[in-house]
Amino acid sequence: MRRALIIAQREYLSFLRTPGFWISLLVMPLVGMVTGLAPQMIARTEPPPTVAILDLTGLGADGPGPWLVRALARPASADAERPSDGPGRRSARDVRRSITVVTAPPAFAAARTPAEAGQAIRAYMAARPLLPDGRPLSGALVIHGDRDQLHLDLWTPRPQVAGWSDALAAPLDDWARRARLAAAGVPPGVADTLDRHLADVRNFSPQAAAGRVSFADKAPVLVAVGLSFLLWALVLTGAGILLNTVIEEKSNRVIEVLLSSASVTEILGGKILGGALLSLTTMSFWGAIGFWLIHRSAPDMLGVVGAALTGHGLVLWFGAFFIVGYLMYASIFAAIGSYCETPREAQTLLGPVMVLLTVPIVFLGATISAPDAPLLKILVWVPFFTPFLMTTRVAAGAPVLELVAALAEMMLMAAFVVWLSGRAFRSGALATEKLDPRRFLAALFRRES
Amino acid sequence: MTEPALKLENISKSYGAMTAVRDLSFEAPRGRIFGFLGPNGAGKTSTLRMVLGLVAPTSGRISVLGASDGRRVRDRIGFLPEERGLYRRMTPAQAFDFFGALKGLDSRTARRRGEALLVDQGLGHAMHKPVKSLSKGMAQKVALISALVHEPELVILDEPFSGLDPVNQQSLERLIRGLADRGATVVFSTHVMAHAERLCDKVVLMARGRKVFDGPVAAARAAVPQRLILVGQIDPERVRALPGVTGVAQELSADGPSLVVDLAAGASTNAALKEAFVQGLEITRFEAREPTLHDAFIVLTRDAPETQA
Repeated sequence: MRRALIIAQREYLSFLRTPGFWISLLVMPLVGMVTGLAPQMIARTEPPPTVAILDLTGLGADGPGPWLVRALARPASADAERPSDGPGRRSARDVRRSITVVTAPPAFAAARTPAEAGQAIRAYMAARPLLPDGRPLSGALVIHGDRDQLHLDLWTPRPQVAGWSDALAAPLDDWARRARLAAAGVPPGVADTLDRHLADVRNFSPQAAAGRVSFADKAPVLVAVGLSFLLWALVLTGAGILLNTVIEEKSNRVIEVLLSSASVTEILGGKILGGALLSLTTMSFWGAIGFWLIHRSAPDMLGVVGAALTGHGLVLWFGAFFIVGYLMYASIFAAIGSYCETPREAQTLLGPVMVLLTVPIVFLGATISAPDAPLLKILVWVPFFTPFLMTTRVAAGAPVLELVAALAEMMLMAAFVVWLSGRAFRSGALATEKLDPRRFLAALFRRES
Repeated sequence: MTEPALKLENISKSYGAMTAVRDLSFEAPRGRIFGFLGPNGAGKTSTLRMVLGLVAPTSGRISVLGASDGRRVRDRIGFLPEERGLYRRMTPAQAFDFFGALKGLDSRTARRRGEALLVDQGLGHAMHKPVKSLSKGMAQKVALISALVHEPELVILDEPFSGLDPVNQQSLERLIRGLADRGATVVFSTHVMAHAERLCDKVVLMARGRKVFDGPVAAARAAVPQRLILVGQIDPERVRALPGVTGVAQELSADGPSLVVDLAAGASTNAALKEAFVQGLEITRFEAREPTLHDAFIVLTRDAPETQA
């Protein structure tokens, strides 16, 4: 135990003294912040979409074209938000507010039929000319049909990003509704009041503290997913550090000196402990940055996040899964490192492990909306995925028995992996031959002579 | 009688179908310098690893400082692997701290002893410099000192002279002699015979996994024929008839034509020379060449059988 602690201390301090560790410590939160803010940053630098409207209905000033132009030109204050607005309505309203209506360019302004307009717009957009004020035309909306059935043809040079159809359709739905009501003899004043009687959608859940669902009720799963990502990053970082130190020790023969001074258990234990301390340091640092950011930007959220962390014992389960998951992956990485003198050699053996590490991340995003999905319930029983996926199950209120059983299964697997890795580590540390995956596998199960 | 520091009895080691060491037995007496010699692939490193307890022998018995497993006495052993053996970013002071601590030494003592040895080697100025900034010779000395700070009873050095220049080799030899003088047993492996010849009290010669010689250096030299160099216009057939001669080869030296004469082990060079002069051979110059350990090594390892199973 004494030697394990000495080795752990060296592992910890040697990395703590490197500038690379502190750079990575600072870079990761920066990368996280940039990743989170990137969509907003891009949206802010994107010029407001410009849309030309071509009304071919022949209904004149009362037609849908002028109605849409008036609706889009309406000030934001006139388009009041209501508490009952769901995300769809809010999003459509935001998009609608961002659209600028421009005069249709002469190239297709004179078109008389939808086909003619389509042909002219296609030719116009292919040439990608700029509008007189220097902006590009983002889209052209051709409205045709009659009062009974409107048709909207939305032309845009970037169909993959244009999400305006719903935003543009909503005012026209309103126009069509009013037209039908007018045809039925309903006075315009009555139509104006209809919007105030839209269904008021409210979300409730038995898990919600106040009955009605708020962000605080969604926070546990979101926080759990965040923790899973954190766990994944920590395991990858910690085990990666371990891999590199073992490779260095193998290449400079220090590993032989260590083996002559301590047992394999002490060496592996010390290394894993040292790596875990580094991971904990990293986690504490990132946690402090996260706390500071939330405290600065949204102090009310601190309570919500705190409640999410303590609810269902999330933070305790996270700690348990972190310890066992890290132990499992770190010992695998150390064993791989013991067979390699260069990182390039390690890549051959790391491939399958990286696939194992990628699978839970692929599924992690989906767990936010479906933490009880049957596939997820199956995947959490695969010990290599358990630490990353089970945290979400904890937040979703999975039965304690399920959590305990999964943890127990994982601990058994971790014990087996550590045992196997210890054998591989000893064999690899003393191996001088070129790396051979078949020999690596054979060494795992060979009887010690 | 004092128990030997190291005793191997009928040790064999196989890796799958390959036998690295076969039926090896020897003893390394306490307080002596013991050479473990052999060409690359002779089984030296495998044997040292068995002594250290890093790998278990397939068969046979080992006694290291009285223990049946080197791991039980690891705190009394100092080990230097072939080349390097240090963290590049560590300073010598940190290396003495770390490796000393693993052997149960407190930091202050480890640094004090390490610094004294470092100063003795003329490297006092390097105490706080990272190993990566030191020359290979300096780093090798630091690695060796790291293995010595806990004052081990048994010092095992795997090819300690590898890659060192003559000045550093001499300095390292002095350090090794100092270890033996203070009572430590030094076991070192090498395939450079000159070091063993100068340092060792006893050597074991290995070839292809087998022991081909075990004994004092002088005995190893005596096991190979002595050699006479005869310069002059001499008939080789008449030389072959001289007492104790086993072989004659012609060569051209700076002094003119000469003969290289091999004598049987134990044969007298004086007797052969006397008979040559009696017979009136026209010898203008002669030289009796004592066999070196290198000669012994070549002869003894040449005929060693393969150990592949």
